[in-house]
This record gives sequence, structure tokens and C-alpha cells, in this order.
Amino acid sequence: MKDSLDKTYYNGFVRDSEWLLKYYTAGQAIGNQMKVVGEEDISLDDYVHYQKSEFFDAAILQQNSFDEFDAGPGIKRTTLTFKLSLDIIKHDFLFKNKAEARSNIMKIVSLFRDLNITKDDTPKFTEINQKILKMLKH
Amino acid sequence: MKKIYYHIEAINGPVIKLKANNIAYGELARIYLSDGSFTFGQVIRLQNQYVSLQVFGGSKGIKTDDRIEFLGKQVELSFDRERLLGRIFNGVGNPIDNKIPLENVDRIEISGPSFNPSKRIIPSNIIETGIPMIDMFNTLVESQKLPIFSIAGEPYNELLARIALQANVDVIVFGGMGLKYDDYLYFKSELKQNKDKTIMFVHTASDPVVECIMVSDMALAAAEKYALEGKKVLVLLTDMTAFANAMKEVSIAMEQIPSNRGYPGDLYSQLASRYEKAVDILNSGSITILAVTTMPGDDVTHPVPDNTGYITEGQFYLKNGVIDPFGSLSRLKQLVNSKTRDDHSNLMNAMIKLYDLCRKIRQQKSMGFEVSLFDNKVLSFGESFEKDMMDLRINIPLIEQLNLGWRILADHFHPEETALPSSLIDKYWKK
Repeated sequence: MKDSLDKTYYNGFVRDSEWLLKYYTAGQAIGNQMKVVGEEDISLDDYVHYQKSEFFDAAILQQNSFDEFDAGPGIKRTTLTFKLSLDIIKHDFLFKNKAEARSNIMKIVSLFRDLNITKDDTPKFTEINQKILKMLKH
Repeated sequence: MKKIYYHIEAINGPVIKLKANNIAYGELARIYLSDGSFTFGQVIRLQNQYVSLQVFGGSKGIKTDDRIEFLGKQVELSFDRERLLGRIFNGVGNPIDNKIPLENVDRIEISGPSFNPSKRIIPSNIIETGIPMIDMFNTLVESQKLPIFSIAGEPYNELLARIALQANVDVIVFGGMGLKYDDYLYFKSELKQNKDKTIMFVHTASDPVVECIMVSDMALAAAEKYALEGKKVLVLLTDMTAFANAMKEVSIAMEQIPSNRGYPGDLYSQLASRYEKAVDILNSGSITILAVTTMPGDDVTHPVPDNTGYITEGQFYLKNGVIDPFGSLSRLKQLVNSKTRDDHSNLMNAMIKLYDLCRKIRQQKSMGFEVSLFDNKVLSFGESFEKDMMDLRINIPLIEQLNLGWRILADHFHPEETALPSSLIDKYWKK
């Protein structure tokens, strides 16, 4: 199964998926912790981790089955968006505070959702992709 | 040839039992009382040579040697497409509005089978009610069957009356079951405003229990006839729990083995045979059913709401005076949301997601946590949402509801905070 998935998508896909799953679960655990201690008692690093896990949930895990592109993306598109989400999550953002972190990650979520509902190999798709990459220069 | 019998074997509540031959299930019988008057009954069970009849008006005054005449036909409703409108009838189709009965008109059988599936089409049209929590968030679709789950004390009858007055349909058929007299007068006075397209079948709590069972059949038979004539019909029923309780009473009188909480074992089938009358007919009209189901003790696992949930296509959950956006669901809304306006689905999802977040932040705030700037925005959005969207008194067309949704979002958030697609933000965001 592992070999087959790596062969279908890219070499290292399963490894990255497992890492992302752990990262996502840890982020959601921080979210649960926040419900108990409040946002103010969470460090900025943990807060960014939580926001990134929310991004992964909104951009990758939640699929819009009523959208013609998001409902059934092909292998090429899945690989591209998955790698892009990995880049975003691994990126070391330099946020000054939680409000800035929330605002910027929300912008990325918004752009990523636009990407999910845009036909691939079109100028618009490339444009949104570029906008997301530009956000990583923050 | 009519069959006449002179010996009743048993009288139990509204049910009488006698020996008879060649009788059909559902057949109508006339029972002549000793005072010279007569009443009707319907065959509800055939067991060997024994026939059980449920007596309209109850069995009070019936003696075991009274004459019973089987009429060889089913229960019927007098139908005239023009003269039926604006009239009020009881559960057996007799007028209770001090006007003369309909004569020299067609007679239609009630409680027939549900509509031929090959003539049904996939629902595709919205029924606008002017209520944002319905039109925008849980769209009512033509030919849908939806219950309004509620509890005693909630304004479900007011909601039903408002839908009757505001819905864009051709004919409203109202079926009141177990109504308090005050409620009957309320509906009578409210629906009078729309009498040119309304028919009422009413059973009040003081009327015989058998008539309660007949109300929904009468209402749906009339609705089916109008739908076959190309009319868009909305059937409003209240309260299906009273209907189920009436069935329970009759089944106990028939000494049926009780099922869950004393309801008859065929409760599901009895409810389904009514709800399944909802239909969108090929090249013709439609029947949409909205039925109040009160939940004793706010218990959604009670047999009536529980069975209803398996039959219907979602539910409106009326709680604390509002249609709760999280408990409510219209399973068919996806069939029409793309046809209303391109932003409908996305806007609905974004607003509900933010309102859900608002509820969570309220909980945290109540536990003494600090709220961030963004949290305050969400809290303030929640207040506007409740005031301008959830209030059941609001009556505006769907397009205005959508515009209002964008206005509320723009009043509280930056566009990217809503997670809405940028194409829609460019088109609709209120600067």
C-alpha cells in the first residue's frame, strides 16, 4: 500500500502524510487545551501550530463535494496542493502576535479555498498559487 | 346490494366489533342509533368473520342491537376546486363554518395509496417563505416533507400560520389535529387573510378521537386532487403527535399489542403513508408537507419524532422561539441552492460557521476567559445574526436575505476572515 501510494503521488508521500497527521493531531490538541485555559495562556508558537492545523483542516481535509473541481481532484492536482500545504505548514512565519498570526493564516486559508475551486492549468490557478507562495515570504 | 347487520358483539371506546361477511378494509358503514339519528364508521380490522369499525363521533349512545349498514364504498370527500377554497371542515369532511355542505360535486376517496413513483420528478424548486432561517439556511423545497420539531409552549402554531400567509404556493391545505379551541380560533382568524387559497380541516381536542386520525387523510386527499390539476399545494399539519396519540387510543381499544410507549406497532407505516403523499408530479402540480411534531418532554427519542425522522427529509427544530440552525436541516436544499443565486451555498455555510464559533466563544467568555479582538468581532456578529436573521418575525424575499447576509458580514469582518471565495467577495462584498 505504502509503495503504491508513493508511486502514485511522489516518493515520500506516505512519510509526509504521516508527519502531517501527527502535526494536525497535535495542533487540534492545542485547540482543546485553549478551550480550557483560554487563548491568552497559550504561547505564540503553540498558537501558530494550532492555526496551521486549522488551515490543514480547512484547505485539505474538508472537501467540497458539490464543487466540480474540489469534488474529485486528479493525481497531479492532489500532489500539487498537498505539497503546497506541506510548504505552508513547515514554513517558519515571523508573526509579532496572535492577531497577526490569525489574520495571515486566514488569508492563506481563503486563498487556498479559492485554489481548490479553480480549474487547474489555467492562468487564474497559477495566479492564486503565486499569491500563496508570496504569503510565505512573510 | 347494501349489507345490513343488527348485532354488535363488543363496544370498546371508539371501536365496535361485529360479525359480518364480504366486507372490505376501509369500507364505510352507517350506524343507526335508537334516537333516530345515525353516525358513520370505517372498517379498520378484519379478523376471520369479525369486523372492527372505528366510529366517527365516538361510540357514545350506540347499543348492541343498533342497525349497521355497510355502504360498499370508502370514506369520501366532496371536492369542488372553487367552492372548497375558504371553507372549514371537521375530520370527517362536514362543514363547521356555518355554510351549507358541498352538494352535486365530485366525491374523492381518501387514504388511497401514495403517488405512482414513475410520475414523480426530482424536486427542483424552492418554496419561499420570507423567513431567513428557512429560505436561506434550510431551504424548503417543493414536494419536500418536513416536520417542525418543537415542544409545548413554543410558537409553532404562529410559525405555521406565518408560513401559510407568506409561502409562494397556489393552495394551502391546513390540517389541525387535537387543537385547543384558542388555537383553532387563531388559525381561523389568521388564515382568513388568505382564504382565497386556503382550506381547513380541523379537529379540536374536544372532538371525537377518530376524527383526529381522519384529518390528515382528508387534507392530503384534497391536496392530491389540486396537485393533479397543476396546483402547487402546501399542506400544513399540526400536531402529528396528537395524531399518533389518537391512533394509540384506537389501537388500545382494538386490543392491539402495544409497541414502544403504548403506540401501535405500525406507527412508522401510519406516519409514512401520510408523509409519502408529498410529491412533485411530472407535468403537473406538487404537494409539500410541513407538519408540527411536538416532543413530549423535549425528548427527540420519543417514538413519534424518532419514527418521523426516518421518514422525512430533514427537520426544522423550533427551540427558544427560533429555528435552531444546528438542529435543523433541509436535506433537499442542495437541489435548489445553486439555482437561487451563486453565493447562496457559500454565504450560508460561512455565516453558520461563524455563528457556531460565536456560540463557542460565548461559552468560553462565560467561563471567565479573555476574548481577543477577533473573538469580539465574532460575538458582535452573533448578536447581529440573531437579531436580523434568526428572528421569526422577519419577512423579506430571499435575494434581500442574501444581501442582508453580506451586509452583516461586512459590518463585522474583513473579507478574508469569512473564508468565502474571492470571486464572491469581489462580486458581493459591501464596501
